[in-house]
Amino acid sequence: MRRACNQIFWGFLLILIDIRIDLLDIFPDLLGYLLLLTGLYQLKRLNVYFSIGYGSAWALMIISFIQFFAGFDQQPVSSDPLYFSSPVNYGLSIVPLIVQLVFGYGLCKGIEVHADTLKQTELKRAARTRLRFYAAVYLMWMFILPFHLNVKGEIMQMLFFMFGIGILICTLSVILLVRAAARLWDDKRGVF
Amino acid sequence: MRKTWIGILAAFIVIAVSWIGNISFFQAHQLGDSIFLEHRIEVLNEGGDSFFLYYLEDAQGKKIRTIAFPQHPELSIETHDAEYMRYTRQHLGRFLVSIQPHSNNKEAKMSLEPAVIDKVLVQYDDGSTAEQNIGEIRFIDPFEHGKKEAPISGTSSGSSSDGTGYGHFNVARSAELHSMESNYMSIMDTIQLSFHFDYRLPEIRSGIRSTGNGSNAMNTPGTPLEQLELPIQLAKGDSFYVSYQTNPDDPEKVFELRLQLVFKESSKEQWIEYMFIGSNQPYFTEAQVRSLVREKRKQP
Repeated sequence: MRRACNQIFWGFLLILIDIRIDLLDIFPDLLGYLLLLTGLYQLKRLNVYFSIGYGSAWALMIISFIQFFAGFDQQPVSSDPLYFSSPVNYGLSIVPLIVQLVFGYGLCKGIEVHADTLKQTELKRAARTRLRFYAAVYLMWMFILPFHLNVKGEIMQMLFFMFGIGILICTLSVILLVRAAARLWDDKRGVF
Repeated sequence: MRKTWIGILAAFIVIAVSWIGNISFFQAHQLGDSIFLEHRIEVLNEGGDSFFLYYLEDAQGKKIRTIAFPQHPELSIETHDAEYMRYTRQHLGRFLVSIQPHSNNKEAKMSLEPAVIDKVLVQYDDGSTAEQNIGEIRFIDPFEHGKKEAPISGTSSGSSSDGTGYGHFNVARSAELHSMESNYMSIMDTIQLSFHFDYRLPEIRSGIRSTGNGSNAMNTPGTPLEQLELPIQLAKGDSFYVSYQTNPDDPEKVFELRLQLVFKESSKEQWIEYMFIGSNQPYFTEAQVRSLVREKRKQP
């Protein structure tokens, strides 16, 4: 299980980190998704929540491909960084957010339930707390996002920046949760 | 557990309301096709003169790429500022259009007929084209001075962001100011014209108020145009101002007039001097943009 958790950890990290040299992403998302799917495939026999995480990871990978090749919102005809081509395309931008929320739920809840089975109360509590944090940030973001249509650009750019940092922090907290699970589930001597 | 799911359900209902509400509100405040403001522009039919054309378009969606004047190849687009002013859901853009210098070729000069343009061909970024109303652009054939020096000559002019402006003129030979005309005198209700003799005038003419201070002409009320008794005899050495006040709270009216000051000498020879009168660059508030969009959407 340690190996599976480490695969999820590195996979998630590769997807999160997006460093580009010119147009080349030096940490390709595809490799990240493959690691994520491999890890979750091994864990999904433990409980149904990891299966949810596994299914949503597939969905995220497909969405990532669609965004890369087709682009939901890529018509750079305006200097407005929040430009979008139509309200329909804009509406579609909620789909990846919902899938990311479900993915985080499956992962955190899976860890929580398995930690409960193993009587690892600290890990269980940490999983529950981080799931709440993760879900709260994503739900607030989903609520705020459509106001971009009707609120002046400068205000939305500030909110985008704030929520960008919020999403980064809550995602990192889930990644570190996976790392902690990897340590505990290997030899049960690790300290979380 | 049940409470958690009720909470999640409530959160998603709130999110759905936010999305549906925002998208509906957004779509109810879209222009659709871009609109040009109502222009009233007089432009001298000579190379180098230029004017701005302003338009409003949705910030998201179909955009104007360029405009063309198919019957007027002399008109060329100098600059295009698509986001001259940015509003929440719309942008105000503008084109600077200039008249290319005429060649010696007589045919080229004739091609500015008709002398009034009221439509422009708009090309959008999706490849479509449409003809749009722009108000009126009227070309004025400039007065040919020839080699003889004019009795009256403009020496300076100025304008301010509060909608005021002036032109200053010197009198080299005695002449009479016969009229002050524009093709758009009908919109003069938004422009207040005043006539001032300069402080250098040796004696204050009866019935015409002196500014007392030439540099303050824009802020000093002179004699309003409607109270002016034309013609006015001007003596050699006189100088005078014509000042104007436009309504800065009316951004939908974009005008650039070339006021024609017509002078006659005792020899009955006629001269014309031009004075530029421009509206402020249009500056809309968010509320004015919303109102414009509402009016446009009501139109069939």
